[in-house]
Amino acid sequence: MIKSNNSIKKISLIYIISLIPLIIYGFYKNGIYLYMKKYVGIFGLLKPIIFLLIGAIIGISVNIIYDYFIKKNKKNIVDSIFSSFHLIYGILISCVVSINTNIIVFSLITFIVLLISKFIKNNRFNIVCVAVLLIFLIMNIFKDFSFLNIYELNNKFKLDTLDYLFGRGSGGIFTTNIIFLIIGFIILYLSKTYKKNIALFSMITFLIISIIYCICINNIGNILNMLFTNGIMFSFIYIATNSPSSSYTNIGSIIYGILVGIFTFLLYLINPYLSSFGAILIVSILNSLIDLKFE
Amino acid sequence: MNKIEDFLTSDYIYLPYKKEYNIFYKDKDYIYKNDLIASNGEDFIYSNVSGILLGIATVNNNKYFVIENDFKDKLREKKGTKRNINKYSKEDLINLLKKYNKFKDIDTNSKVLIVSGISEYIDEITYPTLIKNYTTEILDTIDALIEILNIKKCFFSITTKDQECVNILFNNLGTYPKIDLKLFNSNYSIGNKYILIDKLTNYKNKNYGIIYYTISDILDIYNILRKNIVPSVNYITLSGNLLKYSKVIRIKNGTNLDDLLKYYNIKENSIFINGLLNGFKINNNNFILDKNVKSIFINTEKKYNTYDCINCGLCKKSCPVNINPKYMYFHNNKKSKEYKMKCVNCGICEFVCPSKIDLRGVYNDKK
Repeated sequence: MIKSNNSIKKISLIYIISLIPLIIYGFYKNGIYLYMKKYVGIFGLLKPIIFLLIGAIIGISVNIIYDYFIKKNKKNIVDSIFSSFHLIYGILISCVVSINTNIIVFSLITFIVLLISKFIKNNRFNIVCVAVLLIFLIMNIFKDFSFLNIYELNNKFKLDTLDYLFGRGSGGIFTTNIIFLIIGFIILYLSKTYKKNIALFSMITFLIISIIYCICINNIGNILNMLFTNGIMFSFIYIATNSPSSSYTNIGSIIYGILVGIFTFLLYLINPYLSSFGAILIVSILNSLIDLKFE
Repeated sequence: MNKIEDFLTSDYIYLPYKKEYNIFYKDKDYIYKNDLIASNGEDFIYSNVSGILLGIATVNNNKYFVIENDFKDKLREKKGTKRNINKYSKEDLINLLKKYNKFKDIDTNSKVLIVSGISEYIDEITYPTLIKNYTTEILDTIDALIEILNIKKCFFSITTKDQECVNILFNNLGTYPKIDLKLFNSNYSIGNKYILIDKLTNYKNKNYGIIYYTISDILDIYNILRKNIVPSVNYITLSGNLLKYSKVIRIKNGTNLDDLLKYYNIKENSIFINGLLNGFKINNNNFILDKNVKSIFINTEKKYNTYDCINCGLCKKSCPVNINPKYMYFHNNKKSKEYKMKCVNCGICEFVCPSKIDLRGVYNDKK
């Protein structure tokens, strides 16, 4: 029988292509710029790329280990790498963590979470969020943890709209440039398997609630900070839409997006950095109920 | 214009046998063409060749009457050819069509006639080829059916992709004002009976009040009305990426595929029946080509790895009858059974699935 060329490999490659501009900017902001300003050495220059490579290698190795050593299913190596979205998960985790994250903690948690997730049959919770939240919690045990890089920690800024758009806000390593994020969103939007409704409705919901909130507290200037920092938009576009853990029905995906937007706002009042990850994790756990209800 | 090639020289003809049939001949009896061999009151098995009835044989777990063809096509009684096929009364026509299994489960008071010139399976060229080769016969038969059965609305549907057919029909339809030509974009699955009826009418019960025929049926009816003999041939698309070009062949119903492959000197093993999306692969060339076989594809076969469902929803989005194939695959409850009943087995869900899950296989198992 003939089959279409839709495949996990193709979907993964589209994700990677859409992330390239963000990765380049993240490397500039958290590596090259700091090196040029002499805040960091060669290791600091390469640190963003090291995170990215470790994330990708862990994603690949988890799939290979699972296929070759646990399932003992000797597939072609490329088929094995793209047998699930774990490569993308590894890359996404490296995108959203802070540049101040300990590389060993990042590697261990990412590896353990991704490997365990392979054993959970029909897992329907967002693995990326679990890993990010765990990394953040562990990093907070050791020291006062921040998403600002060393340059941002040592200088005070008053950011305007363009600054936010060009990625000068705080957030994960590769998540801050809003213009490149929009380009990535457009690339994903054109692919058949991308869950557009989730990204759109989570953004719209969060935007509306944030505007109302800012009007209520009489601080409309805070709206850009709410929207464009802490990787919230990135989470809506790349993490909330993760295929296995999100709703696939038409109405279900709209409800899913709205719930992500609402929960993100509620958690934002508690912890802005982790609001979107917590929200996506909660809603992804509810996902099977949403799909059954709106099936 | 594609020509139709003939393969009518099969030594043995295999006609379907069921336990409940009353059999009217003994083994080794000489049988004339158009002789009624067996029946259960609903199905009538007529011989489509003359020759000796050898007995009952099992081919691929199905039982068949085997007739040794003497290539004489002798008739027990010679019947004249009717010049005007619209000179039947309604009752006579219905009885004649019933006699040759062409008026099964059809409401006699139906007022809508749908004629499909759209192939049900992807890459089939049978219907467009038949339209090009038998335009007048087809239009005359449709016109006769409209007149005799007192049809109020007749839709003749084809796709815009078959531009030559569109031109031929536009040039000829002036003399058949009661036939309404409906053009469709060549979306896959539009050739499915229920999907086409749904597009053309707002009838909820697709089996009531509508007469649905394919071009192939119309040609059979033409021969029934003209000669009052059993439709003995079938038109099949022979295609696939291992053949130089696609062709339409005319074969006797009940021909063994092996004979056909030998005739065309085809030795490859990957043979698919009735389309590459919703058909099936046969592992044994001993396969009987009955009236339900519309196409044969001689293709290379690519092996696909199957992965866990990624919950993308593409199967649901692409389903032409708006059911949820994923739900049908993972659940076995009342709702999944409802879906199973609605499913037209078009195979799109399986085609688009990024995880290459055998969604149709599960459908077939549950069915």
